[in-house]
Amino acid sequence: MQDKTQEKTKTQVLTREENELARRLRTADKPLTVAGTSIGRRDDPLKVTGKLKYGADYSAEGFLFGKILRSPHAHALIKSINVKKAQELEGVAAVLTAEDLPGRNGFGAIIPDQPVICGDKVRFVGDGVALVAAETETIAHQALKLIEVEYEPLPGIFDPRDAMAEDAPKIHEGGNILSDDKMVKGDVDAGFAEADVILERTYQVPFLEHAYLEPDTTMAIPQPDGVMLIEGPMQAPFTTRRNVAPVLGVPINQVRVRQIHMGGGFGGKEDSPIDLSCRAAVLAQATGRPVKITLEREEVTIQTAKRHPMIMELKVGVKKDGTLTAFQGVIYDEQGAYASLGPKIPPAGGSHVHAMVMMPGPYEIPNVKVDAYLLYTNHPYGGAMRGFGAPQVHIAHEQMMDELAAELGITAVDIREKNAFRLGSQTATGQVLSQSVGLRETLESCADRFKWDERLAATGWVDQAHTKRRGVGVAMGWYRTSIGTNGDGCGAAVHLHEDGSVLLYSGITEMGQGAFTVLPQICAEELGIMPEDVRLVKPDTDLVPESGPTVGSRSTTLMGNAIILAARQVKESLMDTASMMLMVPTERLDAKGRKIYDRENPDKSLDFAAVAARAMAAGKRMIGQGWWTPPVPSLDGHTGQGSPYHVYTYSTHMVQVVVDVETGEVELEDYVAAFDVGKAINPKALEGQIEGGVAMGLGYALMEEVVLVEGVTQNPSLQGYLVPTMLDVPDIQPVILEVTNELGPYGAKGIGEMPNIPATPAIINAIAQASNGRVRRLPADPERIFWAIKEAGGPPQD
Amino acid sequence: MLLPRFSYHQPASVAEALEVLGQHGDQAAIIAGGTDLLVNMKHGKLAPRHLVGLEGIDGLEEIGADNGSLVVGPRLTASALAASGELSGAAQALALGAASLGSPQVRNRATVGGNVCTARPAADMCVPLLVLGAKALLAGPDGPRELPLDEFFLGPGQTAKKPGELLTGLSLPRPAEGSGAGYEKLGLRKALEIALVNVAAAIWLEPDGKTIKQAKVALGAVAPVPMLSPGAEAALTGQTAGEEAFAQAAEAAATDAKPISDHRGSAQYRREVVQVLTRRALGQAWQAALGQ
Repeated sequence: MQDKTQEKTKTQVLTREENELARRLRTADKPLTVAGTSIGRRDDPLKVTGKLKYGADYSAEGFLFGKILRSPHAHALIKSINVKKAQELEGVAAVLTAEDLPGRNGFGAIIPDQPVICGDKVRFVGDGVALVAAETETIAHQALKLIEVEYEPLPGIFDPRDAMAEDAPKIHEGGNILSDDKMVKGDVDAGFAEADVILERTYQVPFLEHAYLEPDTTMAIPQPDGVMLIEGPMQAPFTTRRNVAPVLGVPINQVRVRQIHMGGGFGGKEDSPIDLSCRAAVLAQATGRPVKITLEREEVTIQTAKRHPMIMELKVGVKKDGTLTAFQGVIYDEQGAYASLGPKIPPAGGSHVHAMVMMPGPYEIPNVKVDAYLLYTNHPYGGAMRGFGAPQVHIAHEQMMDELAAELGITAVDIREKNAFRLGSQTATGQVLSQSVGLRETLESCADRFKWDERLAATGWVDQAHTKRRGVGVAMGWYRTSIGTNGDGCGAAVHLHEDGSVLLYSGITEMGQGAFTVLPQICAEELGIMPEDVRLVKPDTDLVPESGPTVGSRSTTLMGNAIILAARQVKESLMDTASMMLMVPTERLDAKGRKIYDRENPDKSLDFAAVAARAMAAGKRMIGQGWWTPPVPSLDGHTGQGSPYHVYTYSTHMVQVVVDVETGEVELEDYVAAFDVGKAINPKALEGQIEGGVAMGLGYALMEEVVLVEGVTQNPSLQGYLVPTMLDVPDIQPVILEVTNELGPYGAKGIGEMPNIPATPAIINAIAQASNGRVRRLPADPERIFWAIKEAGGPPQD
Repeated sequence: MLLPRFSYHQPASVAEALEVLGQHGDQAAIIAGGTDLLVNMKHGKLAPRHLVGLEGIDGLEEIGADNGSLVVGPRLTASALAASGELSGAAQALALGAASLGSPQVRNRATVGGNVCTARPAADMCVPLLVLGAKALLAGPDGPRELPLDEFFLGPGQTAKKPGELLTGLSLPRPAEGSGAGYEKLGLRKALEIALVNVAAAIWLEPDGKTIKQAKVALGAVAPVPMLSPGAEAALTGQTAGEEAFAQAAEAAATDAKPISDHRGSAQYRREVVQVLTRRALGQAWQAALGQ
């Protein structure tokens, strides 16, 4: 694979801006010693020995317990609220309502439209109407029961399409349409006129819960100097700080946020910690005492952000030979009660715009039109969840590709091969893919490893009684690296000490994805030392440079680049010093394995530590600072044309399933997932991302759904909200391909979110291939599969 | 999610246990594995002031014999029953049900007595016990009594056990030659799952190895309590074992089922699945009875 990769990179067509950035970075061809190897994860020993402390493990001695009184109504006016009895309960330190707030009564990752405490109305079941801080958890619970709230229920909106009606009740002052976006390329009518087959289909996906193992926890600890210290598991310490400060009515520098190691996040801990931190902070400010809020599992499901549900209407035209001619789509993207991470951050940030951009899939289509509506309802709110709008639209376009192939009588692989992106392809936003496009390679390698042709030929009945039928499915996918906003910068600092040890300052958080292992690996690679020589300073907004949030599969790439630039500043000190010591010009010097040596005469070398000591003594620069901003994104607000994200990761998944056509049950037999990741900095950690992602995509396909009736969550606990168990997940074979990204550290691209995206439609497609049961409204639980087979007139009769 | 305060009692005999239960009336709850009770206590659904643990009482954790019956101790765990060599023939139904309950951790704690007294409509051990004609052996202040299980279950979480009574065992007929059992469970995932529908079947063959001397089918999650299907039993008794008889029994079972629609599944689908699973469970039972 390596040779092929080299060849590919030569033919790329970088833009001027990309060229300049690539020249600044110049890491893609570096021979590697530390990066690219599967060193063990740093947090593993702590986790398996139980030594790692999660938020809830931190002692709460001297803390008050914070609790939130929640609205039982999906939409209602608050007529009155009486907290007197609760205040009088012994052990209650504070009961706060909207009137008691010191600053802005609103927070949100993008728009501060969610009240810290609701004053006049509530917009979903779970909205906070009062806060309590008490000496014990039990007293806090009792106090909640003593608060009397009088509501006047309002009609609620529970279907996003109803939100668009002229006479629909207004959930927010500005109306229910939070965003109305369009993407127009070519002329779809002309495209449909050229088509031999046109299919129209509607696909629908429900709210999903992240179900991270660790329920949310936040501690707000007032400091003697007036600073508010916030500690908790979170993905976005800087966004949290940006929200807590105005809520307290203080400048940003008066709030300090420290991240605690997360027990899973998957995008969910981007904004739930904002919510809890604001609430804990106002309680701490009111009482002058530290306050801890820990959510119960049911509260996590009811209160925190979910994956957006969507209704997706597609109309797609295709020629007999499988060439796509036109794609028309409408997305009803359900935001729920509050804006969270849905709306646009110009030009292409926010989950809604991302979903629109990704909707036609990784295919060359000359004529595209997508209308995307982001709509408030009286449901819980949609936020970030591993893929940020992309998993939903992949479920639509990847099913549509299979439905078109079936209509044309060609295979699911053929139709994808015909249309898949290649280097130089133009996307639906008119972006020319200038480099690192390994989509076709993933299809080829996946089909190869999976033995697609053989397995496709072998599909059919498993038993003589014709109750179980075997089938195969494929899906492709693409996912951006970085978040498409203008301000997607990322900073790092590297502090070299006189003994050669290094402190690395990064604001990228660890949630199990491996950042705390991979980032020191990159730092060590650049300096020519070993990963264990680099200690990572944990994210703390008082200590580390602004790094942006740990989202958008951006950490390895953006932070990796910032670290490389920071490390080079101290490396320059080292090389200058070594040059004097060895009497060799700096251009001839290299660093590797804790040695700095003359490339032309490798025996002529110095210990890294000795050079560091000499550099320090000579007053050389020992602190490096790096800042990386990806190429400036663009997306026209009216036409949706531009280059919204600078590089994409590509993937193909194939799966074999057995469907019990009498009951609708599904068994996954075999799974191959291929990825073009640019460069695997830590291949084992990357495989872990792939396996976890596929398992998550499987849950979306077969069982996961937050069930809501009139706005009330029916399955808030993990007994009712089912996620896959070990027995449900098949053996997963990862295939890693490396088509160099000139704008990533050593060629890397993001991988965190990609693995779960094609998994869901691959499984759904395999079920349909095996049984004729095409489930267009997820999850494809046994009952939906059962009826889909019936609707199709039964399973294939061969 | 804090456990409310309670006192813990550890009687050394059934008599002592009855005394403690008598003293505290409805303030007392019996605890075995605690997999259901403790969860409900944490959720605030139950708040007994006294928990009565049975681990000090001998003999509640074994399978004993009594006048042609097997007596299954109520403190036997699901994992012990799943691995038990004594549950052969039709009695294998109980082992199959026990093996499909929860996860290994839950099976190591959860007991058959707890499963029966908790009386959930989809309980993995209750449905098999019904096809075995199991009787609940109860000790109480007025002396011991026996109650067939189908009279024991009254509703979800409700049984005929009176406050102050203790389940001391479950009596089953001894495993007979030429008998076999089957158990089928449909869920959304493969472990840690409450059945959407579960079916147990048991068949006793005549010495000719073909004619069905007796057969029973029990259904879970399709009524307020685990239920026997009289229609299936009638359709099978005296018939020749085989696909035709099983299909008729399956149809009868679907007619007997009283499913409702909820967010986990529709009544119509559950009825369809009852038919499929009954047919399969009977097939499995037949194969087992033939020693295959």
